[in-house]
Amino acid sequence: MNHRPDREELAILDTLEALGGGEAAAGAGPESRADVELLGLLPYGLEPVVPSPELRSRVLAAVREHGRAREGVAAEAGSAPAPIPFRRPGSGTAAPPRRAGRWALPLAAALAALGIGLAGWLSLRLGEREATIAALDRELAAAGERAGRLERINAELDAARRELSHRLALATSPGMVACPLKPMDREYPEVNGLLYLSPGGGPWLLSVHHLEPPPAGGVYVVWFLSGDAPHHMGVLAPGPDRSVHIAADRMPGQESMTGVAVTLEPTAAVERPTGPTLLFGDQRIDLL
Amino acid sequence: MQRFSTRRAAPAAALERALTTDPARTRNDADLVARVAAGDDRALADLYDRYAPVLLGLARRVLGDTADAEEVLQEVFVHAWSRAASYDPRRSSVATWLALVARSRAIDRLRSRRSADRTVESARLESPPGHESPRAAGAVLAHERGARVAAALAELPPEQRQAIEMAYYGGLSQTAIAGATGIPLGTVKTRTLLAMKKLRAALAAEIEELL
Repeated sequence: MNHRPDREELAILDTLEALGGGEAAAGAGPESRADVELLGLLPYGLEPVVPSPELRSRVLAAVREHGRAREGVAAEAGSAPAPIPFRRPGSGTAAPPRRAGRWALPLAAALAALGIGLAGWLSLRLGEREATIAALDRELAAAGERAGRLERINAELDAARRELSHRLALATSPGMVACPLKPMDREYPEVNGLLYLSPGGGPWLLSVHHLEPPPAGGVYVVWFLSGDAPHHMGVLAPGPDRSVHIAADRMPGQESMTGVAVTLEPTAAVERPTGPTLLFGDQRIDLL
Repeated sequence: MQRFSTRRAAPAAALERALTTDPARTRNDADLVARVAAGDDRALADLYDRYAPVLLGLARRVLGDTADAEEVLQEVFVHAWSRAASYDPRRSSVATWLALVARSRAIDRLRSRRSADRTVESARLESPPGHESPRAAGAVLAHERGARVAAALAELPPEQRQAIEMAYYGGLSQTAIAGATGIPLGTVKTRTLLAMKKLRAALAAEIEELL
């Protein structure tokens, strides 16, 4: 079949090829018009399909709706109305475009999966951050405890350093005086003590041994005596070895000291000795 | 095969109106379109009753899907409603105008579907389901137009009928048909041309009624 079409035949082929929007070419001749009508006849060779009454109602309703929209739009702007979407049976709303419907579900599923994954990842990261913060809190608390212990140790060491400093000052003092304290109460026969004094009112140190803890509701108070005026010099709190030391850099501001005593008092806030005397040292020292 | 056997319990009168050749129909159709252009929706309903079965059959033949074909049918009549004023009876009859609008809308929809799934389409063109052959001439003689068209198509050699169907219902160009079938382009054109000439000769009376 190697046939070369003539002009009329080419017109027939062009008519078939150029079927577009259903409009035949303007000014077409009778032959072309006949070809167009022939093409319009071809569907009659098919089995016709009678639409259901429901489809008829839907189509005519869509046309009426389109007509109302056309009138409304024409009244407002004079332009063509938007196309009316086809309503499938049983659907109360317009059917979405096929392409959008085809992609909407996979897109929504992909977005949902992405959201779930992101939420899971963020939750995991949040858990890791919380665990890190908890561990840091524990480390900070432990460091605080260590710092507290170190402060206490430092305070103890500082106190020990001061006491050693006093003892060293006393030991190196050329005029140092030692004043023994004797027990005065029969209930405390073993207790004894020794007061080290620097001349001129300098550092002093009192060491007491074999001193039992004070009875409930009582404290031991040290007094420096100057005539009839006692000076409250502090409280003695014996340790487990029943020994206690008390020291200071300066003696109280007075001209001389005539003795030293340790009494048992009901409270540390007393201005004069009121209780029994446990120790007493009879030593006169000029402090000025 | 029953000439007007339908898949629904359709009223026979509807098909009667759709397919019976009426000498005054062409003029009546033009009057209907003029009334539609004037906003008479009852005239459009009359057009629908006359042509919806053929147009729905055409759309379903192209698309192979009833739901899509029904959407095309709605588009055709919305188009007719909105463009009736631009209808020019010198260009084509109302029947041809509506048929070519329906074919154009169905082919557009088919092409967009093809871009998504060419495999299915090629298989369908190789073996069109059910409607690819016109009804046997002896089985469809109840009404002149449908029967004569079916008979004319049945008289075509299979290769010529295939060329016409691929171009008309598949929306394929001569070049695309040659590519799809592996037949030389010149042979495709010759087959198409012969088919068109034979159909024009066989359906001269029907065409004359429409002019």
